[in-house]
Amino acid sequence: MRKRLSTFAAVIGAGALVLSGCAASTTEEESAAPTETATSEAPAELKTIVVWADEQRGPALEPLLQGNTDIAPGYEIELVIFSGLEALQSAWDKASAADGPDVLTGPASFTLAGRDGRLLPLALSDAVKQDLGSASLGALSLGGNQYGVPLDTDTTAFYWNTAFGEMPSTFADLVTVYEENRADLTGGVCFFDGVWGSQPFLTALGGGAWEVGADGAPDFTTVKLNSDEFKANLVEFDLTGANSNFAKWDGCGEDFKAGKIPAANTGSWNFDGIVDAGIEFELGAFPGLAVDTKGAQWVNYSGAYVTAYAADHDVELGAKALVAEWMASPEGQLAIATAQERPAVSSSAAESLGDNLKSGPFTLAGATGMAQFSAPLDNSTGGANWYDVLSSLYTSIFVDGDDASTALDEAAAIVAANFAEGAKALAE
Amino acid sequence: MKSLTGSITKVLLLSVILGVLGFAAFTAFIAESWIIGTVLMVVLVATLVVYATGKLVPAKFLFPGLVFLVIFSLAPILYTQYMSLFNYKSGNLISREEAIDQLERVGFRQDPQSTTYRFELGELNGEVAAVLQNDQDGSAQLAFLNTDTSIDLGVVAEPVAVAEARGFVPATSDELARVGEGLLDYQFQLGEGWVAIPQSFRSAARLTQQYFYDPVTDTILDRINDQVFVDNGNGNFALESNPDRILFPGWRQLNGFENYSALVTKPEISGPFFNVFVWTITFSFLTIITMFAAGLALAVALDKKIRFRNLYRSLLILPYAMPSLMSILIWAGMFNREFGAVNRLFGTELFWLGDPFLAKLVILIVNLWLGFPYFYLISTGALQALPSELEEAAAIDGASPTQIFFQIKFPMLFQILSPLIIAAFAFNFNNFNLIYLLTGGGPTEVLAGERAGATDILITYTYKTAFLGTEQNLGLASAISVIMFIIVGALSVWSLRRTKVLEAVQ
Repeated sequence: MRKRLSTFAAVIGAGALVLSGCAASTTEEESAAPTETATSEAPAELKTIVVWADEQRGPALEPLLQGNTDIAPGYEIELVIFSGLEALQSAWDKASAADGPDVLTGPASFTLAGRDGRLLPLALSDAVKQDLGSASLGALSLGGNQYGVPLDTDTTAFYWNTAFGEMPSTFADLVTVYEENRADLTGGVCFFDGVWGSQPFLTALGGGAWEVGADGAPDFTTVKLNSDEFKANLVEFDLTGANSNFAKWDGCGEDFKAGKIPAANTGSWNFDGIVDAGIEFELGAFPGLAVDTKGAQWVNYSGAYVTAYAADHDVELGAKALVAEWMASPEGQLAIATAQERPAVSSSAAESLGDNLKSGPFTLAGATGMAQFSAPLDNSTGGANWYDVLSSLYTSIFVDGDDASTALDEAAAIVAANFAEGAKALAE
Repeated sequence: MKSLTGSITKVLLLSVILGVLGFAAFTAFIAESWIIGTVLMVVLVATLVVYATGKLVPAKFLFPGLVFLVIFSLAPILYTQYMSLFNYKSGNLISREEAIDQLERVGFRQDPQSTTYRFELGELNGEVAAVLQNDQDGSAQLAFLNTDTSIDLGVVAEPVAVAEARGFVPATSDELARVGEGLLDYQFQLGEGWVAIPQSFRSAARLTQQYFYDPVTDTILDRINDQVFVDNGNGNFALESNPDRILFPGWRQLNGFENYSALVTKPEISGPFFNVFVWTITFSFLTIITMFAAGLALAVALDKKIRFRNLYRSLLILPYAMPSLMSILIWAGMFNREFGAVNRLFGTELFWLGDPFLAKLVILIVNLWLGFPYFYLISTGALQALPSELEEAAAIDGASPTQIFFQIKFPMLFQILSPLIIAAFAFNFNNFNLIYLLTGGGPTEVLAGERAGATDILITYTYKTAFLGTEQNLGLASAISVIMFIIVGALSVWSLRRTKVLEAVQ
């Protein structure tokens, strides 16, 4: 009896094999159908272009892209929205030809994937290049290849709590307000977004990352972080020392919303939160040393990239049509900027957008800021990247009270090595 | 009836398992995942042999465990060891063939004017041709795939109509759809090395190929700059005259034990690795000592019947019952410098998580809180297992309670608990959650040139090396993982030998 049952089980198992094989064969035949159909002159099935986006850009792009078959005729666009940039980054890091996207949207740091052969270079027309500008295109290029089409700019503006009076016209005015109210304040200026948002503070006082030429071209060989001017201004305004409290960069947003810090530097993404907190504020440029001078903001361009997986998925042509034609075109740029409510990269789209409370200062910051090049900033040849170096530097001179000049020189030595190596990656 | 029900259940379950395995194997083969498909087929056949016959009774119990051991333990270990022999990092992730293909693909350069064209595919006299209208100046030409000679159509508003007059037949939508992605392979000759390559169905760009791979000499030729790039043996093509100038992408290159030797010979790697290694050992020892001491002390204190003993025992187990993820995050908030409860309670402004020494202290304190209930429980059980006659006899002989504990009870307790202590040591050697969630491995004295955090242990350092930052070094991380495996494996073997567990089985 048992032998018969065992044999029966073996037969069942073999049958299961056969059935699964038939199921798999059917799947294979179905997947082969479009080719046979095209050959026999029946309408070909639409190919799918998969686009990845994060929770900020995704909802804005969804009405433009999801299910769209007009942008790239013969292709249907499928948009996958991730819960956040970290989730998107994590998925992209692990992506392969089996599950990777055909088009990736995200910050300029994604351009570095070109070094791994995971992105395809794009050939843009001269008209498009003029419209988008060399700064944005440069931030999304690597090794002489254009990998990304800029979609929008992440930049920041100076938020001034009007409860503390008029917007300061100079940095000295800002410090004066802080000193007069120091007993009730927990800081002088809050960089909501960490050290990244502190760039205008550095540049306003004569510091910063690298030198920028009169033509706007970056000079990665000249590190400004430990410039004599910056050192002198730190001393003049008495900004350093143990627990100096003026510059806050680590979780200070709630204090600004509670009115305990008079000024902040952050982007439009915190605009609604600050409004909801009941803060009456003015937007403008980070005040510089003299009237009508200002600190230069970082301008982080996010872009759309055609991945090497598009070629593996046989949709490279459609993906390039989506990115290099539609997204790069003035019409596409305007549609995306309107949907995202962020400053447009395209100069023609920016003219059409107009100016409002939200986009005005951010648009200006985008137009006059410093392009953020990932290759030198994210490079860690010197031991740590720009952001980690800044974080350690601020802790050293604003919290621990270490000698600012020595700390700045140490930091500059690290970032100089980073910039040199990063500049190589950008060049041909 | 019972055995019939059982047999039917067995048959159905077996059928489902075999069906799932069979479908998975066929799907793997269709996707050309030969290794996965073969493994699944082997497992399927072995399942059939083991469970469909009445023989091999011990195998029926061991088989599932063996399968999972091989697939989820042995295979990853072997693969990690294999990958540790490669130069496998950012810029060197893909295969050599893929890298060469990419270099040739990305090796096309636009002309300085970024010339692009409106593009119309068709044929002329049976030969594939394209009407190209310059986006900048409107000039048009008819170009071909196999000849440099193009037909100038002039600056016209309707170049396609002009071309049709010359016999050009535009492709229909269906014909374009049939060509499909194959359009990317078309290179319409423009002369002097320049070609027009379609970028979509209606546009093309003027490009020239800069990099060519020569399979005979195994070099990459830069046609524009007249340079030769050779295989540098480390996964990249490098300029012969300047080895620092390398082309990307590179490929993952077998480099033997270079990752292991780098841990010792390269200062930027050996320095952080040694510091992290020392802290890992130190942390594991200190945390075990503190947890064991606290757990044992509480077990001894509650060994005697006192009022509310059961309540105390329940309260002491609470830290063990709470999810450690939550606990660690709450502790991180409590040690926050500006708004943490610890600083507010003591009226201090200590930078607990920002000072290297204090951060290490915080790690030990939090892990003590998380781990002492475990040692309390096992110590309680071990104390109860000790024979009371020894204690009574020692008391009769005049030994003090301290002498009884340290000279009689403690040695026996230690012998009973040593396998668990060793296992706890091995666990904390790889305690990723605690370090990553509490301090992130930091703080890092970046300005002093530190590359690893003060509280990084080997597992967090390996994770950062492999996955964080722009320079992801998977080969080096694999080498560190192998070293960790050897250490923890050696500990496990020593523990097994010490407790003579296998001798008991024999």
